[in-house]
Amino acid sequence: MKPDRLLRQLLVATLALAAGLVRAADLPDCSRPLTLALHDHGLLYSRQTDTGIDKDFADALTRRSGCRINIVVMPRARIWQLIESGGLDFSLSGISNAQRERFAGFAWYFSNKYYLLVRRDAGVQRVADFTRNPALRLGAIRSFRYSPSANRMIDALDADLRVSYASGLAPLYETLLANQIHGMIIEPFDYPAVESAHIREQTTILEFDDPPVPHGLIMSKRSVPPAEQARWHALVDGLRADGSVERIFDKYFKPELSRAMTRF
Amino acid sequence: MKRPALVTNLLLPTAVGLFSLALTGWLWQHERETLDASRRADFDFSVRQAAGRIEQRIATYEQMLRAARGLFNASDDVSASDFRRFVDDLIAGTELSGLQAMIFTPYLAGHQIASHVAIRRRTDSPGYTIEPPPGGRDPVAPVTYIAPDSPINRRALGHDLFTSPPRREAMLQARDSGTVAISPKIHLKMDQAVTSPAFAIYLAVYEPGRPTDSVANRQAALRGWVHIAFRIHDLMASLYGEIAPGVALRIYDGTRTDSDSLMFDSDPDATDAAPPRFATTEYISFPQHTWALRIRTTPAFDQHHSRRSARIIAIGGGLGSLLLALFTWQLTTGRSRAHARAQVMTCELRASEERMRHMAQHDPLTQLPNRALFSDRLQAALARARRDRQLAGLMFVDLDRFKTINDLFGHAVGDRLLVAASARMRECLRESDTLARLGGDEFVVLLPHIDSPADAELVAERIRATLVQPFGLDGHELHISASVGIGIYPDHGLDDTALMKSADDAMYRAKDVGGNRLNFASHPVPAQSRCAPPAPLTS
Repeated sequence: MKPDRLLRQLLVATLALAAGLVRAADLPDCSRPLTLALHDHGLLYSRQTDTGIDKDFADALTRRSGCRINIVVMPRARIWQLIESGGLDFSLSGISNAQRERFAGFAWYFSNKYYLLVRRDAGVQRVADFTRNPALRLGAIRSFRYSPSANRMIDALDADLRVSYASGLAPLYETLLANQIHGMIIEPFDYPAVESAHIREQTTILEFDDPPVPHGLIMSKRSVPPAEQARWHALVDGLRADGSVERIFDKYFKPELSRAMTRF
Repeated sequence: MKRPALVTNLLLPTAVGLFSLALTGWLWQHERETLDASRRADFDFSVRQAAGRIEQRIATYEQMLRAARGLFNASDDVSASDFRRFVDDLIAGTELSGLQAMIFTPYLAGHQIASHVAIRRRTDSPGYTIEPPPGGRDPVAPVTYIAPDSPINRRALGHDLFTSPPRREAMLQARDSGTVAISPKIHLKMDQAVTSPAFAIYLAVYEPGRPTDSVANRQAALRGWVHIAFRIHDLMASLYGEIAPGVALRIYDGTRTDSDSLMFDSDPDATDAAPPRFATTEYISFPQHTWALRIRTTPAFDQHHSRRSARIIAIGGGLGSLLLALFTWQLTTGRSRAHARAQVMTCELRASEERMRHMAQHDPLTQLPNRALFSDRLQAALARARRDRQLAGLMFVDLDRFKTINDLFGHAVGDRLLVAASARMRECLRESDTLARLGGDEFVVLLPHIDSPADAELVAERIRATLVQPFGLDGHELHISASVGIGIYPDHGLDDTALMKSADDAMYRAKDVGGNRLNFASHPVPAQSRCAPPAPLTS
């Protein structure tokens, strides 16, 4: 082997080692098992099939970080409580507001719009019609927040005790079909259920006049230090940048919708 | 334009009172809104707490099942005693009174049933049978291990759960999902007499080492189920104290809230006569199953969140506003009221002074000027006459026989006679003349403006004549007469003393000669004197 060739190989090996060390230094700390909670919600995660976007994204996080992440499933309201208390490290598909910013950090990886799914016989032509009719009740998942207009609507209805809360989507669809509630706020993840024949026949979809709302990895500020949050944030950005996130969404949505949700 | 005083005086107190009332109203409204918000927040908290506690308790059961699955994943040969020891250790020291039993049920194809029964009889339960007998059923899911070990729980051993459609459906859901599934309302085999609604939570156990990443793989790897049976009343009893006071809870199986679906009612004696202040329905979502929680307030909630403080603000503020308005009225009208009071007092003082002056200058019986006032007027009249070189007349009038009448009819009649006589004399005089009583039955008359002594004589005669007329008093007709002495300035005296003396002397001279006559002062001697015979005292 010629000396210059050997030197070149040594140089490449050294650079590769240095790059690996730098990459390792940028990766999150995996010295302890981490916890990540999913919630049963349409295409995000189905407990029935143990599949969904969030499950795939959690697997991608596990692979990319090399950390051991224990995945648990629990109601969304409980997830927020545990994120706030530090009893849980991560959750997925979270949106932010001023209150949540106090106890959680976020790393966005998709955005989506919100829609009002309303019974056809409710006489609602526009979103505002729903609030105006005191006989109409809205169904919602406890602790969920939405886009600004949707939040204003649900807060106004809640003040009048016109919101029935549930810990999951299934009872909301059921009560919607039983005319016990007359509308609910949905996201693209709920399209498969909405497109089922008996729901589609009885309902119509109205769009809130709001821009898409970013969703992301939720990090508990109590259990994940700021430096670690920055590493996880960089890791999520990496998953977005190399197309991993879009590939996950492509499994569940048409390419154009997948692109619209992940490129924001 | 000047406003009426009443309006001006009431304007500020009214404004202050209204402002204070408005402030009270605002505070009252604010307090009511705060209390309403507090009530609503408490109710919302109660709703979240109730749903959260139940979800957490179910989650606890799920964790226990996952632990039990771990036991079976760790060993291919878990015996009945292993399972019982595991469960006993798992629940030792925990507060899980709602848990009736933890069970392992194997999934058995038809060809496995006979060997399963034989092993069970040989190792653990000599009388073990599958109930109902399998006959041609394939597969079966008989209760095989049950803990804690008790005679009641042992009743369920061998019971084929697949013969119960709701159980079978939940078990197959658990198998396919790999996670827990909760059954709809069932009746526990152990509860022969009890009719309390019960539930079972199932978690599938798979053959160790087999892939379970798809529904097909999970179906192929199925080994059985670990499950927990619990009664809803026991579950809720274990959560006693977790539900806020004043809040009643009903739990329905499914999303319908009718009597058929009702499983638990924390306040079964409540009537629906009075609508609750707050009521809502919260849905707890389990995998493929839902419970509806109907949560409402009871009268105890309103008692616990009374609006007493708002009422205190309303009553206290109302009274305070009234007092403040009164206080303001006192402050704003104090000066004017003090001024009015001072005016009244000044008037009273002036009247009092006037009365005192009158009393000092007048005879209290006849209200005629007394000696002092007469003296003043005499001096003034004489000064004016002296200055103007005019005449003035002075007459002494003494009532004849007055003492006799006093003695006969008493002082009261005498006094009235004096009053009547003075009134008659007064009528004989001009406005500018002065009639005064010097004391007893002695009167003096000052005529400040006369042109001649004859004018005085004329007046004196008029007096004499009028007094001679009878007086009717107390049914008596009284007769008196008068002796009049007349003095003329400057003829009979140049000063008051001299003139008085001259007139007095003249009067006495008239009296000395029998009374009822006029007599001029001695110098110059009157030109004539008139006489009249004395009249009888009465007629």
